[in-house]
Amino acid sequence: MPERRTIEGIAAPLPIGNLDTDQIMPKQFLRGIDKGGLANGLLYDLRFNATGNPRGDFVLNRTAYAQCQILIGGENFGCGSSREHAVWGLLQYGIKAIVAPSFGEIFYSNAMNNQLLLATLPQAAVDAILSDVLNPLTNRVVIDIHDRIVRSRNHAAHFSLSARHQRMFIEGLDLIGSSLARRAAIAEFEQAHWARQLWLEKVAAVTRNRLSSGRASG
Amino acid sequence: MDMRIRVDGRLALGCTSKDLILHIINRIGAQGARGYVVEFCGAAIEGLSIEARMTLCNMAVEAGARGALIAPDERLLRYVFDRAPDMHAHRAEALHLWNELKSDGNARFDAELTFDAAQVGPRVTWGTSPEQSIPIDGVIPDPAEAASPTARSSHERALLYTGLNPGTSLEGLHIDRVFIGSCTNGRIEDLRAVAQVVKGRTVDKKVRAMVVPGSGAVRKQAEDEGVAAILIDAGFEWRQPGCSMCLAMNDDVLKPGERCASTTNRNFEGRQGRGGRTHLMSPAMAAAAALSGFITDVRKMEP
Repeated sequence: MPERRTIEGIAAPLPIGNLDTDQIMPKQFLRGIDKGGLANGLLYDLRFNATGNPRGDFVLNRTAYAQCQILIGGENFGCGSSREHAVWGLLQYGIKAIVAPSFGEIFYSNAMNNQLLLATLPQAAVDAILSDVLNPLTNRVVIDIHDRIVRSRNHAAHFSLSARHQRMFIEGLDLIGSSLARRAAIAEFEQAHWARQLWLEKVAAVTRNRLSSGRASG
Repeated sequence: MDMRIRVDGRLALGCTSKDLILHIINRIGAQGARGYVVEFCGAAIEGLSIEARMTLCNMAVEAGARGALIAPDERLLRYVFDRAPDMHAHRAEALHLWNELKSDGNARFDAELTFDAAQVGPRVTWGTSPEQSIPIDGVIPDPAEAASPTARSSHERALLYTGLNPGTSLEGLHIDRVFIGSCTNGRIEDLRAVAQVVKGRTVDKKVRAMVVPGSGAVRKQAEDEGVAAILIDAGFEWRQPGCSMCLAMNDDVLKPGERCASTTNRNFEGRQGRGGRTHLMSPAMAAAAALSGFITDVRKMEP
């Protein structure tokens, strides 16, 4: 198993509070039947104007940040709709990590499941790192996953990451993978549950029968 | 982590659980319950119908909650048994199991908040986050009073997007579209509430208004009850169930600059169409807006 302990690259400042997943990945990009092509949709209305031309003043369109792999975000980054496409799109665009004071709850879980590292830092620490990356000459950031440290040119800060998420990240597991590792315990629970509530299984069977006979005659 | 939100008192006439949750989100913020599962309790919650409770729990996510729940009571059990005929033979076992589904009397929560239902009036959002709402008789707050520089810039950006000014009221603001529907407010009670307001009247001729029932079952029930006929007579489009203009993935999209009174849960930038301006409110308030052609206080409509 390859161990990914550091992420290093250009960081782009994106200090917008409550940047919701509708903005990160607008709905017109959710229609595909696979995960491909989402890099085009990333932050679409911020990157492009109404006629589809790039907005030159937007940070990701500036030459100094075009190759960025890290975003420095505002509070509640990724709030709103649960669309996993937001995370897929960020990854496809080339973003490997986001540093922010806080993240939307569902977005956070989606990111952890997809190996997009989210580093939560106090606002003051985010502001300090922002002050470095706002200058294109000092916009490189290093994130050490093992020691949970974010380093910019002049600042360093420890970020919070639960032991479980750190392990998932380093071992390359998603939640399903880490659940399947406990398959025996799940089977044991299931057996005990049905034994305790026999009637529940009967109700389910009655309902299944009623619905399927209704479907046959209707 | 667990958060308990107790709501005392009783919602006033014309105020709904949608107004209550917009009120709560406004007070605690769009990330006020981030990381928590919320349990709602208190007299005001016990007084709510089951469908109104669904609206409340549904929108707790807009405060950042992982989920929200309300302990089962008599009204809930009746609601479930009415809809689950196969349960009747097992009523006793079910009650035994479900009556345990409540917090212990001495349960400790990581956070506890209390609200007074009497302080809740009909609310409307003015910005691009569900936390940005005011009572219909209030005025849009000034970004200069925001708590932090980030909050201030979000606030200013939201006003720029919605084309509104601080210190002004939403009462009288003209709208182009009305959308009744979504998982937040597309249930039969919501459609009945709209029908009650619009019965015998007509939608303003400059407004395009649509009703999208939350499910096929709701659509059929509304037709059987005569609710659909009232809505159609008033000039609403009566549509097939689905998400529709809640997130505008189909052709139901706002044009840039169009303003919509919407019973949905999210007013994010571009949510209902690029440049579209969404004002979240209760079904009754959206109905009043449809008739008037502008946002108005449903409590002032003539009965």
